Amino acid sequence: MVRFEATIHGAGSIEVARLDLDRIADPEGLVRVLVDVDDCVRLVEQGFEVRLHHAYRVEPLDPGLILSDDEVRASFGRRIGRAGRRGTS
Amino acid sequence: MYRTVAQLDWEMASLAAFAPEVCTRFELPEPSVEGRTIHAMRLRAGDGENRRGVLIVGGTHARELMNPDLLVELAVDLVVSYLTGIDIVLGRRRWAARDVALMLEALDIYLLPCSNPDGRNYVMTVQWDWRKNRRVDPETSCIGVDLNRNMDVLWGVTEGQTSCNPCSNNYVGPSALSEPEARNVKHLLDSHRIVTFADVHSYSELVMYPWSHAPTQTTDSSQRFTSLPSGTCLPIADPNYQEYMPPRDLQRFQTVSARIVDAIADVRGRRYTPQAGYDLYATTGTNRDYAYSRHVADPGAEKVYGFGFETGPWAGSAKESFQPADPAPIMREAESGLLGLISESICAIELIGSRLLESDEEVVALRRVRDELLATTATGRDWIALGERVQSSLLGCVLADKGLTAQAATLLRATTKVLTNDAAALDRDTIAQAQALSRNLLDRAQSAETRNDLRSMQTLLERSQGQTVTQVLRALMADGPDA
Repeated sequence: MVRFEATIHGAGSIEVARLDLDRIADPEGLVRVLVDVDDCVRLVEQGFEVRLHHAYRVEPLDPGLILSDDEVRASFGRRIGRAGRRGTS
Repeated sequence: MYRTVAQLDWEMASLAAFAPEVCTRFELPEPSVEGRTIHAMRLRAGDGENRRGVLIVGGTHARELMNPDLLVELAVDLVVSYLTGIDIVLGRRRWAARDVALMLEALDIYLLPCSNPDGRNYVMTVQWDWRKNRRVDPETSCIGVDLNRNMDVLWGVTEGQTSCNPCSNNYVGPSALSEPEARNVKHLLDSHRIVTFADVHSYSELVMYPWSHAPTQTTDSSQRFTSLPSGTCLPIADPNYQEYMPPRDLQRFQTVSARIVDAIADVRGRRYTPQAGYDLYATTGTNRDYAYSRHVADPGAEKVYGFGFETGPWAGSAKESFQPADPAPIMREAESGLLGLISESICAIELIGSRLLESDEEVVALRRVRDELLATTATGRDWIALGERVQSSLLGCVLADKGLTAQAATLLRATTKVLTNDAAALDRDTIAQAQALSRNLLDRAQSAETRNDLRSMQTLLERSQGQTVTQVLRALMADGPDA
């Protein structure tokens, strides 16, 4: 499955609110959303212009962005090391 | 890089085991929808009951990943600074260990780093952009309630980004506070004397405050949300509705937000925007509005100033904005902002009163003057803001110096004696005490702003000699600090 990051054009804030979309903040105040294919079809059929900017697989967070247990322990140990009166659990 | 739910819990437990005299980890009454135990922490040092409390919540929206990590790192930094006397250094901003100690000794700081652990786990194991909790709606089989729409303030009023559709990412849930994760936040507000609340989200570099369902106005106190119907699954009927906020509260939100913004910018120059929640987009049932709304709905409840953070900038895509590969620089600046918020939650008068005076008579009298008199005019509110600026900048100095603390306490006692008698005049001795304290503070003031504020106070003192309390207060309410 794929989700798209898109901006919707030709819609005001009130109309967008009625569409029940996953709206996310946009730096220029555009209507930016995360949508699936069905949402895109629905929007186009209702007369909106939909511009796709990114396509994302429905997948977990990149495992490379998750700390290992060892990294967490080492980081915690370093941070409290300065106070080092007792060992960590 | 981000911690798993288990790693967040491990780090909280380890910190509490390492420094039990400063950090307590405790289980919240309700597990998550999927049965996970949810923990919070209390940070405090020294003695004293019934302190002012600060509650900071993270991880409400699961995909906004960095904020639970941020709150755990904030806890570690506070504890280490307290135990070692070493300053917290965040980029170019240094938080003096003395000021950190003051935060821990004056306040109870409650941190709920990961209020939605099921959602976070789902992000890490199934779908990176999951936002809600993991409640299954029995009729549609759609999953998840937006925990930042489920609180009991205009719940189910579908203003803006708020929905009664169980398949929507902004689903309000089947009833107000239907979700255990939301009830845990309510529990923390119910069971402690919280005066400041923050819900930390991402992204957009914002510091937000109420209101979120409508524009804020400060003139018509009959326009209160308590008169609007909730649970309608409709927007507010009157499209021109504007929600009332007392001017003093709006001023406080704006001045505290400005100081948070400064504390963030000090780290690496990123300047967040302070604004009402409504200015982002309309919502109802949010954490921050709920925290602030409670004293309006129940006049017996403590007033809680509720803030929302949106950490980090737009980074070119949703993925990189919600989950930057290197969140550390954003976390550092957000931590500085949170330290600013915590620092602003200390009340100097209350602290000096509780430490050095036998009763709270002085504190009550001064608070009454502030809230019932000064706060009613724009110039009076300017004086309040001036006092808060001076406090924020110099309270640590005063409390670290026994002589200054004693001077402040003596002055507080003398001032209160006069305040309780409208016809009493400010005598030469009291004025001289105040001037001496002011001069001592001027010697220690680091910033030009604080020095200017102190000079305004000195001018006021010179004018006040021989005047009655009523005359002085009338002058304060008519002429601002710049007059």
